[in-house]
Amino acid sequence: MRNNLKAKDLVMTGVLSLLGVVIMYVVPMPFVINPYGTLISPLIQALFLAIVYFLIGSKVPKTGALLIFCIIMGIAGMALYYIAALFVAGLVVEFIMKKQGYGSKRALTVSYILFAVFNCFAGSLVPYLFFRDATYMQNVQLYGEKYANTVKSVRSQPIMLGLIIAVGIMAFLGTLFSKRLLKKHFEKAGIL
Amino acid sequence: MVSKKKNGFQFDPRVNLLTVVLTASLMFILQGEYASVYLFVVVISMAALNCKIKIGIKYTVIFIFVYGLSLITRGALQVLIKAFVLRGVSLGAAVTVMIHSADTSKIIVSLRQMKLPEQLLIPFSVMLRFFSTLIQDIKLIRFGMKTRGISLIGKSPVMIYELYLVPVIMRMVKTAGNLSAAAETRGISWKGEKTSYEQVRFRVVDAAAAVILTGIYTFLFITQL
Repeated sequence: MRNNLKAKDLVMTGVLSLLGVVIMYVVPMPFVINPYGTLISPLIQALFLAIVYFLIGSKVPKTGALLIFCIIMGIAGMALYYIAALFVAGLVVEFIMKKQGYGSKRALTVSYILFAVFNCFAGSLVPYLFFRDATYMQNVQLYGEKYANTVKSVRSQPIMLGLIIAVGIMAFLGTLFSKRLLKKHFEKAGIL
Repeated sequence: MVSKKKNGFQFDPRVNLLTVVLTASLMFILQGEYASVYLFVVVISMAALNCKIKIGIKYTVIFIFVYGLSLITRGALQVLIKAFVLRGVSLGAAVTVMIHSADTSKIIVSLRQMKLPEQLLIPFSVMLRFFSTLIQDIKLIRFGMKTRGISLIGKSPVMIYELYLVPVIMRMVKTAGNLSAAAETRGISWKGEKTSYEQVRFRVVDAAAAVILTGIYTFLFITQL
């Protein structure tokens, strides 16, 4: 992969990725209290992370910027499987951008939806698909048995499949919202 | 030449970074009832060894207060405090100690010595440096909205998001532009070997601390105390 990122591009990517990490943790926080709210967290993240993704894709339309963003988001998730999943997501995103053209809004939309689905799959579904018992025990210790039982009951396969579809839809809505914000504020201000 | 230490003994930035990484990794993995206490004790010990006594005292007070809250609250609030806030205090303490124990330049030098690629090193360093600036900017924006009489009551979540996020992003983009210009004038793009006025060496005491820390965290993980 030819990388022509300059220092100013890396600085911009770092700054916007920091904002992405903050949004990833802070915005869904009120929903985690309730066990049903853990299903809402990936939807909220999909909706609100879009603006950061679009900004990086528009301000730094070069090979590697979105991959770095995905790696940083993966590291912020603090689990090895999550880092690996978002690294793969970054490679897929870079492939799409290379084929469709860096800076293209359509490419950013498609790649963001894929990123959001990967994010949901790795963050919310992998623990319950592959480490079901260990995750249940961990939830019992952290949150109590009642909370853990409720979380377990809402993680059935039909619900998980529905969640992935819902994340895709929310990600798409997030891209529409982001494009509106970019046009309304940032293009007018000359930032983009 | 090793620079004179003004703040007493301090570990190599990599040891403090290791503390942050291990604390973050184990934060939600340790399952024992007193896991948050053990994590906190380790982090505060590191703060003391780094001669960051004020930071240690401040976070100890916060931890005791939050721990007390976790005992007296019930239901969803207790879950939130025990599962997130209490453990988050340990991580917050570890990050604060890391940031205050060394200049950003020393952290960058130590990461460069670890052969981290520039494509990750620069964004990571920027994130470390910018975190406090971001918090400050959010506070200023809230203050600005208050001054202008902009109330968030009755507004939709989307509008609230727009009201906060757009100014924050504008500020961050402008500051990023200034920062990158400053970095360019300091030769960040130069391809040759970079040297530093501040010398960072991984001493025997740093290696011993890293081994002991890893041992303690491994012990906590295996025993799930």
